[in-house]
Amino acid sequence: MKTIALVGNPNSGKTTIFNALTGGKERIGNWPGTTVERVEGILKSNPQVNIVDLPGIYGLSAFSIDEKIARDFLLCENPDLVVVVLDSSNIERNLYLLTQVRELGIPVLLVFNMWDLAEKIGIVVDEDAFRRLFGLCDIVKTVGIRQEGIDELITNINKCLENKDGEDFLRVDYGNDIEELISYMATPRHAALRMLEEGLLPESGEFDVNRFNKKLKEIEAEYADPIVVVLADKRHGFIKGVVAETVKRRLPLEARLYLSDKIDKVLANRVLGIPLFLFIMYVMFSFVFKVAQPFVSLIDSFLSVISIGVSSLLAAVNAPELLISFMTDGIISGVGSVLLFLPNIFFLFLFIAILEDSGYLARGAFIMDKLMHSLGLHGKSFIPMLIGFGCNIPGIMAARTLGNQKDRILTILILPLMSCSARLPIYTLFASAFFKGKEALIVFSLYAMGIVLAIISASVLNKAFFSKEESLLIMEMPPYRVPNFKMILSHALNRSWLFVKKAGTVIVAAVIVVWLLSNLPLGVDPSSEKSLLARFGMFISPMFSWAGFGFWQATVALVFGIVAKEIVVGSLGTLLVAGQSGALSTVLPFYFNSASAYAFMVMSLIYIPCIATIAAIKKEIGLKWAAFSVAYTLSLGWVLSVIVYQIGRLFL
Amino acid sequence: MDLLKLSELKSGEKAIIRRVNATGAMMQKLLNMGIVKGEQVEVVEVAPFSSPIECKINGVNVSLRSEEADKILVEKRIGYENYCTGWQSE
Repeated sequence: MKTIALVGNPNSGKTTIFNALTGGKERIGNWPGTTVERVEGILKSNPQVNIVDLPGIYGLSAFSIDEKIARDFLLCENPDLVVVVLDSSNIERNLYLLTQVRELGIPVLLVFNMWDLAEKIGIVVDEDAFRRLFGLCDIVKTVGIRQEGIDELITNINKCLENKDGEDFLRVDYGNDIEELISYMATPRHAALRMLEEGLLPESGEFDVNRFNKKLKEIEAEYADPIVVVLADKRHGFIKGVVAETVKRRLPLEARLYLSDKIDKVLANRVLGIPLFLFIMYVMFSFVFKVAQPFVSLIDSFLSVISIGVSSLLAAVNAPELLISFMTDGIISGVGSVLLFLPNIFFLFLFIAILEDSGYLARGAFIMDKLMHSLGLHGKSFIPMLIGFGCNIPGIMAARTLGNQKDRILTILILPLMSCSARLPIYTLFASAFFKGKEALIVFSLYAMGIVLAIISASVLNKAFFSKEESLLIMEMPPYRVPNFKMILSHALNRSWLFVKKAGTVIVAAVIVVWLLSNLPLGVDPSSEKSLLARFGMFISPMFSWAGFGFWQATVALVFGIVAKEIVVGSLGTLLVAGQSGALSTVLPFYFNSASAYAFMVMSLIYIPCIATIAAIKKEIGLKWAAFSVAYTLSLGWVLSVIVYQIGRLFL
Repeated sequence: MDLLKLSELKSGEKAIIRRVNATGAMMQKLLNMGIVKGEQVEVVEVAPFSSPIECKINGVNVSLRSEEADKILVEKRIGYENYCTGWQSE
């Protein structure tokens, strides 16, 4: 088994090349100890070759998590070949990474991707000189989105793997002073260079620290710059030299970007930018939730058909009632609750892929960054938060577009405070029962409270956990382009399936546990006063007496609400109306007054996200943060509902 | 040499990077992206509330927050691309 790694700048079309090489069959996981996605696949015509798609990076410094992953992989996992993908319309900028990879002595096959764009602006490359100067194994020109050059690339990958050309180290001339400094380090040259760049020192005995430091100070004084800057300048100098010798272009570089800049004059405009962004977000929002709705209904009716079919089938063979209930209320409704999310999640991923691929996502982040950054978030945080109003889960998954770990964790932690559509039935029930004529105001106040709490939480959590971490917005704004539909579709399908697999198991397990609790001990009426669930409710309900709803039915409804928030209304219906006549809204005033009703709505807004959301949080940023989110939202919800009730009581 | 902060340029203005006062992760990122002294920079658009700004550097459009652009010092050249051709024709 051989391993090759795909390396390239962001927006170099690396993922398209990866898909073409693997035939779209990818395995998505996480890099060890991180939330950064690790994508692997098998070379199409040669099952003996494993391809790893490294994160898109500009260089190998270890400051960002993406760069650290790429660097560690290249240094520690010894890939047999590295395929460096570059954007041919901007060769010079892409060569810095190539230089660093070749300095490590790893054999490289260079791909001039998007070669059609290079031809359009009249770029001609002297391939032989290029190969010689960088010590490359081979060069292939491709147009990834049109599959051009892919067969040649596969052939040449196999060739490069057989004869190990280009195993030597690329030697950039850093000048006598720096070469002398390197020789003091008594370490192989490539390792010494990396150490200099990362501020590390050799540990071996031959190394003379004093002599080294003296020389280092001399060099830094002479160049009036830290050593990392000097090294980078030398490397850029080397690249400029190579480009001058090997790359000719007939038209100026700016030609390609001209149209993009014109579009930005409108879409990233300081006046028009925000209204246009909000409009696009509105389109996305309705797209994700309205277009998905027929599919949701379809799955819903399909599930009820299955459910009826299974129960009548089981009844026909005289199966015990408990088994029927387990199959329909436990298993089928558990699996169903996962499947019902699927259309939303699929359309969301589709839309995000379109935004990302077209280049607009970077503009959205650009426009919203000032506002979001003042809250300790990132420009890109806005989109997940907005999606969260529809459903928190796709919102949490949309936070993937955030490159920085801190920004991503913070965004995900405040997301459950965005009041999702499943909480709306609770508000409408209580608002119409207790606040006649003021329903809209009440519902709006809850949405607003969620947003205010999210803003406050973001600043507080930012200060508490991430105060030392630097967040940057030095971000490339890629040229606008028409998205590749096939790629977007396969991407969205892959991600959706991954969600079903990962979150699905947790959700189904939780639904089964709740079913068990409401049906045990054996022979009890489901969810009645004698069930384990009710006893559990009675045990913890005193905790909510300060909030005005310290009776077990409310507690049990909230517990059910953890499975899915929309169940709260249904559970209250079953638990409170049972044995009495009349609709739920007429029964409610026997249990709640307007203060405790509002407190209950506040609790429903804030307390513990639903299980599917918890599962999504765990999947995205790990168990620790998922547990924190549960604890945080539960305590915040409790405190606020108590405050609301205690203040509200004074006005009754 | 009169140096300005990159954040002080208006949209459409061009300049040359003369000094980068960044450290740590920001410095590395700029170095890796080729945003180094000697490169020409043009401000393409300025976002609402004056931050971030979109610049064209080394043929690529990059966004920078204003506090990031503060650390990049530039020398303004009016009509830089015509500077040398104008000189030759005289």
